[in-house]
Amino acid sequence: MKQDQKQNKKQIRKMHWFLLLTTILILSIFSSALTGSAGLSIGDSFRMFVSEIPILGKWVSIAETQSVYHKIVWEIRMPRIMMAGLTGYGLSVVGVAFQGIFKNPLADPHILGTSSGAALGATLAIMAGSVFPMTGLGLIGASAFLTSMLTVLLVYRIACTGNRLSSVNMILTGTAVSMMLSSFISLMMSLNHDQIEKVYLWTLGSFSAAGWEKVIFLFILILPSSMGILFFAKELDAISTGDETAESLGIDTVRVRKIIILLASLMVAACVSVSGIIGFVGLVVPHVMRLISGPKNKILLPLSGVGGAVFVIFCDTLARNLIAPSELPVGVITALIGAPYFVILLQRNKRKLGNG
Amino acid sequence: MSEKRTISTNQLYWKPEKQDPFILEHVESTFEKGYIYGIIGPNGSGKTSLIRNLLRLVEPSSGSVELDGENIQSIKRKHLARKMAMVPQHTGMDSTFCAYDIVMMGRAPYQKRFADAGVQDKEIVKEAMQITDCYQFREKEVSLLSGGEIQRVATARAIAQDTDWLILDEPTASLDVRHQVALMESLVGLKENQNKSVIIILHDINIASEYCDRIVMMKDGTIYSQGDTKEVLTCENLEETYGIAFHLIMEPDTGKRYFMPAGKRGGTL
Repeated sequence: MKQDQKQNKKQIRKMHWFLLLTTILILSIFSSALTGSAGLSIGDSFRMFVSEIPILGKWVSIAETQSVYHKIVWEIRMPRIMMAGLTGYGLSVVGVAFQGIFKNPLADPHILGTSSGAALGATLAIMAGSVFPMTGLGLIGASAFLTSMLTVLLVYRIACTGNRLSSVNMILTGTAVSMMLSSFISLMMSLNHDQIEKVYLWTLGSFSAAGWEKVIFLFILILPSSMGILFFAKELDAISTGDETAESLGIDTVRVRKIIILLASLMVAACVSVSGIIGFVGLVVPHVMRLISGPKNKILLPLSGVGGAVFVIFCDTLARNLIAPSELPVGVITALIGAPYFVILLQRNKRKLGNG
Repeated sequence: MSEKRTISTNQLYWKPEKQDPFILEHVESTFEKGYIYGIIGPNGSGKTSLIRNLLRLVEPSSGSVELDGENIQSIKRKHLARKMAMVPQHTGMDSTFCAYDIVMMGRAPYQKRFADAGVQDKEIVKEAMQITDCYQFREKEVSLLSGGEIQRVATARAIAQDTDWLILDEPTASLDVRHQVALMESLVGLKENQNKSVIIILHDINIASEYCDRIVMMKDGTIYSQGDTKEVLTCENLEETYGIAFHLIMEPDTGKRYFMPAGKRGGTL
């Protein structure tokens, strides 16, 4: 049947895109590992990289190169690249999920106030760190994670009326709470001038304080949660066409929403607490991927995840190499690339994203 | 004893929030399988609220809704979705899914979680779209369709859900005359050929008169009258419910009845 053939071709094409993106991801991990400000030659970086790969490693001898080079590739660059990839993956998946649940093409991971909550926690920790000389990043991260989850709970409680949860209510409440927290943060910053730079830089987003423990933390929180969201791909499809319709199809929309928001918030809280607020990834990547894969979440979710990982690894590579040995905050790069691209997308798809 | 397939409401009361007044009060009705029921009544009389209670989109404040004698609150949603399908009033579909995908969602209650559409699913979807005359734009994005076209796609989805009961909320609202008639004719066809039962909210009294076997006439959140169309649709009942006078015009040879609104109560044409 002609219809079947067409459908099969479409499926195959989407698989091709997925494989292509995954290949690009591996390549970007690889090439990013080869670049850096530490003065390693590409050849040295290459050897260091390959030496840890199970089978290929035997072919490479690293005896002549300094052990510190190994450290640079595997303890500084690779964790950072992994963090960037996982963050990009997580934020993009959440972006897709939120755009579906809230039926809003402008929804992004930060819409429920998770990131403002995290920023507040980080600010408090940084301020506290100046008063009590406690350890830096562990406390900041933990504090940020805690406050971001509390913020989501707060937004959820405020927005819920009875058992019904309206998308508009949640978004408005999230926005309001975000603004409230931001102004509180500004207040604290104005009362503690010497900490302004630290807080500000934290909120701009950066992967410079990377480490394998953070990678594992991200991995444990992000991968299973994203699988959980993928589990509800069909429900997400139906919910994005209307709550009542989805319910009449047998979907418990209240329960599905709760679960997805919970999983998504875990992912965003993890990302933000580890590396600050990185914007535009969760907003732009889903739209770009949707042009390739169409709106079905079964394909859009993983595709956006991989696409987001590539994007953020790319941005972070730029962030740490453009003005080497200095660094730009990666959140700035994602915004500088993401925002103009988003405008271009809007121009091209005026009808689809906005008014018919 | 043959089991009668019914949806029934028992002393149903409903209001949206605790502090609101009751929208539905003491609604007692039984819908029997094999008929086309028309629900009519003025705006705000509770028609949409009634079917939302029937579909378990909301929970009754007191009383119950029963499907084949079983309280729907205790039936698994997925099983309920295999018995009742809905065509909502405002489909609000500005998504980027194509019409075909939307209709295929109607097969969700039967599909396994990660499974793709099977051969049977595809056949059912195609047939459903042909019944409502929307198969030709199956590849088109719904956000680019007209209101009437979207309505037909939503109806096709409900048909594809392959249920005993089809419940439609004013589906004829944005349809032109030809498609209005086509929809009603297809509902009659579904009743006779596929043994489906229909509950449909209508604004047009004459369409109700022509196509519905039974009528549920609502007023102020309760049922004013229900039963066979010929018995319920009378000028007196209509005047009581709608607050305006009606004239009945009968076609002598066919027995068809047409109701014409007559302006102010007691006023002349």
